[in-house]
Amino acid sequence: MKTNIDIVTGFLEEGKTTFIRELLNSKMIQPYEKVLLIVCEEGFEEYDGFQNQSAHLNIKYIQDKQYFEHQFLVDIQTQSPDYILVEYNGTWLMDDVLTANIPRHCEIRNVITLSDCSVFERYLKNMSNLLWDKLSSSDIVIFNRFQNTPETRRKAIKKVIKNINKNTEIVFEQMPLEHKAVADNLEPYLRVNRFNFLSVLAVSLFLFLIIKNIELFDNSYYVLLQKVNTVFISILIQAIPFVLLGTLFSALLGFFVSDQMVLKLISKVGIVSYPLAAIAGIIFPMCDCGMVPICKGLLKKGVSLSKVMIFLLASQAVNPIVILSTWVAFSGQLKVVLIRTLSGIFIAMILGIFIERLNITIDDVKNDGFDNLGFGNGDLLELNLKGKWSKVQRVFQQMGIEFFRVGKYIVVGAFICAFVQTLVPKTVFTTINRFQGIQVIIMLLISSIMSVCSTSNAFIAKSFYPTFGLNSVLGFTVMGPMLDITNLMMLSDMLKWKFIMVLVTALLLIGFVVFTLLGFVV
Amino acid sequence: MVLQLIILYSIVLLLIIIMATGKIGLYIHPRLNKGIWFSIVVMILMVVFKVPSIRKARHNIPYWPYLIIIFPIITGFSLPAVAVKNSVVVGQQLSNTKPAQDSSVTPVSETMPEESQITTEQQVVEESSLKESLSENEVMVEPEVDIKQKYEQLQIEGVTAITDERFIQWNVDVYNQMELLKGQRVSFLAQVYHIDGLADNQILCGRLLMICCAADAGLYGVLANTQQASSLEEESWVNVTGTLDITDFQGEKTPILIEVKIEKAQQPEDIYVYDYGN
Repeated sequence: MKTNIDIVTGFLEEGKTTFIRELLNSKMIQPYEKVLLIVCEEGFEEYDGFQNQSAHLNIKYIQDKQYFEHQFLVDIQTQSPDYILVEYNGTWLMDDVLTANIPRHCEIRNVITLSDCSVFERYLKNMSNLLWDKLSSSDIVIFNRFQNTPETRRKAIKKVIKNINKNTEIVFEQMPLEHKAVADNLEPYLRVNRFNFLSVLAVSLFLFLIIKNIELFDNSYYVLLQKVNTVFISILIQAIPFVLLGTLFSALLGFFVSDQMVLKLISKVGIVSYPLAAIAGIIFPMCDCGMVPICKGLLKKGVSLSKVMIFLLASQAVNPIVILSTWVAFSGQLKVVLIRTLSGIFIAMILGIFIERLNITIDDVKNDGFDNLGFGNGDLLELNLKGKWSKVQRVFQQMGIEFFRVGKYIVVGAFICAFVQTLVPKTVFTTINRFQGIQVIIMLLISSIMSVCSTSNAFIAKSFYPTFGLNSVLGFTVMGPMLDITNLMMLSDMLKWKFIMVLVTALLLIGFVVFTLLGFVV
Repeated sequence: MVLQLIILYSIVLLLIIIMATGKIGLYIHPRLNKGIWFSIVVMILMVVFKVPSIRKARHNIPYWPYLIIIFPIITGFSLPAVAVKNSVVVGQQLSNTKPAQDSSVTPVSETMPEESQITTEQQVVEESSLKESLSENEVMVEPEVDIKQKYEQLQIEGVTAITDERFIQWNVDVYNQMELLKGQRVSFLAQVYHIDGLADNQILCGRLLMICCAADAGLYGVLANTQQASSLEEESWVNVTGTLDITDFQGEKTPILIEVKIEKAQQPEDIYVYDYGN
């Protein structure tokens, strides 16, 4: 039977000792024969004179986190407790105790952080790294002092913690041991089976073996699977360089360009800034997958939401490679190329101006993911390399974080694209082509799933022609990068879904009007 | 975190294997290959700079999001790539369909001007619709000589060999200027397809074109009359030699090869033809 180790941590005077004393006095301790309590000296409240009747309690006070490297193991072996509690100093990093040398029959079960609502936000500002270190590793965060904090602030605190680690349970409770979640997790001898590293590897291996062996079961499905997968992987492979470039640029922007420089640049331009924001995309002739990280970087530097949205939406219209591909796809018709570019810029600017007029700023629409307290962020804590190399390390670490954040959206988007494209033959759409307006709508809607990459967009669009009129096919070409489902998912990483839905509706409306009207001209 | 390192390392490994075995051509256009090497280097650097902080242990890590990223790595390793066609384009139309015949749709002639000199002439002529300007083009002499000569010049013993590099451009020319190129004898490597709407003695001789990645791959080709039509296996590789003629396919004038000679051929190393920045 495994010996459980529960770790209780938190900052000075936040209630660790009180909690442990309550625990030691509760009936939860009774089943145990021998309890070892390790206390990392710091606070005022201690265990002097603490009487515990039921279990044989041994308290050890330690000064140094190096205790966990070796002496901890020795103590456990000599005393053979069947339950271990650690009151861990909040200013020490979790790493030192989580990597402690422990005997094979022991397992770190719970990490519980005690905190105080009234000082939480202050700690978040001043000691964010240390606080993040505790919160990101906690199974439960307990606030036992929260009476003076209004419900709205409590909700906000909950959101912050959930954003740091969505597995963490948050409890507001004066008598924490009476709370079901706490009591359940602290049950004597209970082994908590959590989905861990080994489970991930096991699931991965299992999946790999299943897929490898599908061939044996049903050959026709296997070929289909291969086709979907080839398209799926091809979208991802094609996107990787651009995503890395985008995150690289964003990281460089974040670390090496000061807010002042950017603001100065923007303010210098004044009224011309709208069209300039649209044309700025020329500097980044890359696939739209790399654009969202760049936009995030710009927003963090203080560039207004309206200008960044214009920049993002117009970026593919002004991308020289896209312009060239449109020219080639439509057999050198300058007219088509001009319409594609100008309408793209036009629609982007209309939306940007709307956002500006309605006074919508990034603070209104950013979600919890925007401030980057997300998964993997702990690595920012430690820059092991010195001097110039530490800057380089920061850039690559930031890239790593963004890569994993953005990666999951691209994977989902690419999968949807691949699935629909391979399994739904294009000819299905060609049977529904009655009226002008419907053609445009269909093209706009399809473009969100079938626009893989803005370069090939023009060719995919062209394949629908002349079944669909030139105007609707152009609608596909122009609106595709704007409505692309992968892009929208990447945006959801930093913007609220409500805003994204409003954006999509506005884009569909404007697109519908513009391209239906175009149908009378072209 | 160790899992992140394993993921990055697996992606690098997968990419290197795909590049080394040449399978990359089934996924993306060759012009993007440099980008893949760049990505490999950058990801190796990301691993290198993360290693010093690898001892940053964490408890209660949410692992589900990582499974999303692991999924394509697993399928990438376990499912071999195949040639994909997302659309079949015969000339200007998607196969199996009739072009829009609704009167509310502005009818656009299927021949679209493609030489730049035609465009400049267009601007001189008063244009209210694409169709009108196109009908003007048909009297022009210059492009006619250009295209016809372009292929005649390449003739060896009366046959123009259309190589992979020229295939897509030739395909475009043949559909745009079928009148001009009628009568020319060509030969090229192609795959045999039996599509809807063909007569029993007809096949489509086509190649798969990739612009950016497999997601946009399409089949482009030309019809051919041959007695062997029913005995030729779908997607088999052949060397086709034929004389260009014009026929009616699903209500549209379409080029077709007659007096066709077909030889079995080897599958080439590059299954796709790549146009645009080859």
